[in-house]
Amino acid sequence: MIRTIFKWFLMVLSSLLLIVAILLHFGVIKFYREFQPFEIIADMDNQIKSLPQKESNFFVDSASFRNPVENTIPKIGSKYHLIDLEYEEAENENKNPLEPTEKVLARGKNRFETFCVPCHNHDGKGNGVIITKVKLKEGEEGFPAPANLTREFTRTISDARIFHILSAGQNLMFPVNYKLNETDRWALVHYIRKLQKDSNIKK
Amino acid sequence: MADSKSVKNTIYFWLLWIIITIAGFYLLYDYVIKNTGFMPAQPIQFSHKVHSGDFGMKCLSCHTSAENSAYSEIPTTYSCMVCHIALKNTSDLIKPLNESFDSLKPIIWNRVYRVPDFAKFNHKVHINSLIDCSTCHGEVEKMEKVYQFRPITMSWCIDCHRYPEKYAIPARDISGIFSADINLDSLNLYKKKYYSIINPPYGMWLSDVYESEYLKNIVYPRVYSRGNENCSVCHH
Repeated sequence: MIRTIFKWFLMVLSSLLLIVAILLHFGVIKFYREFQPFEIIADMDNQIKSLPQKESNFFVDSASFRNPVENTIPKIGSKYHLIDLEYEEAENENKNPLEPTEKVLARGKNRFETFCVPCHNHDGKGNGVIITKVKLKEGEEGFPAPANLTREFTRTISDARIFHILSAGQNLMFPVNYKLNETDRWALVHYIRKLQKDSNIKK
Repeated sequence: MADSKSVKNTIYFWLLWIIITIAGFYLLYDYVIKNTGFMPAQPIQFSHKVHSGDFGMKCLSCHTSAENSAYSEIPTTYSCMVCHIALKNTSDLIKPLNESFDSLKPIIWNRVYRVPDFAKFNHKVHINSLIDCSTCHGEVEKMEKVYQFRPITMSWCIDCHRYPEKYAIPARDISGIFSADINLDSLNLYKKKYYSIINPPYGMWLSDVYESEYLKNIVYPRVYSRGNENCSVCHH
């Protein structure tokens, strides 16, 4: 009697385990969980060393990496030293080292598509997703209309000024120099010029 | 002389035990080592589906450092505030962002993907080789909450390095990967170094996959020292 019950129990258990294992292996079912599983041998998985963006118990501010000393010169590129209202000085200082070759324009297009398009849209006319697609609930503020990059004012100002706006910001626009290095910003300037030419042709 | 019935019974029991152990170990392996479906709670209810799927924001616009460093960053509060300084700034969901922006204290997000400390993974190399983010991370633009899509195991890495035509996905539009050569000559900010080693290091293994037609879009590591099965590519 006990033997037959045990037999049936084993049969049900084995078939259940087998079915679940097969379904899991082929991705038919998926289990989501919020907690991390136990680790069998965790000694080498979690070493005592600091990794990027990892919390540390050693320093007071609990950051594992120290900031560079003041006036440190970066190895690649340079730190932008002007603030947003010093555009007259910027026009004297900044000079575009790049020429609008195919490669530079391709890089500029890629950077424009990733960083500028959500606000300024693909054609640079300032009706991006942030205005057209965002659904606002009651009592929530939207984003004020971004600038049209193909308007006359932007056409007349110099390359240096556009570079200055990119690296120091203007009005609500945050500077992008913390994400884009100098070359990328100059490539962006060339691409903006290209967008302005293209919008001329369509008219 | 053994009874034929009892012999059948013992064989039957042994079979059941074997099935239970194998299936049980597989389940344990799936849970502990593969760890797919790990979906930790986050301090802010952030949706990749809305930001990336609906609004078409590229992966690299927030995780920028994946292009030029080994580590792909979790975006700072500053990069969220580029839009949310005005957009929905009064909403309850943005409250922790505002607090962190005012007090200069970073938001501590919970990590989903974790490579063990004895191995290393270089995002820059993979992205400059035009391998899409979704090869490992899945289609994040369709996920409401991010979960671990692929197992971060040694077999997963090596399988993909041996047979990339089965697993690797070429760069898609949504990820924002720059498809041309990243060297902009006039400033020489990025310089690639090539090593020529006549005798390849131990563990090297070159497959016929190099000539596969599928890989024409992918710049595959053809340099000797960066071979796909060199131990020191992934281990220190």
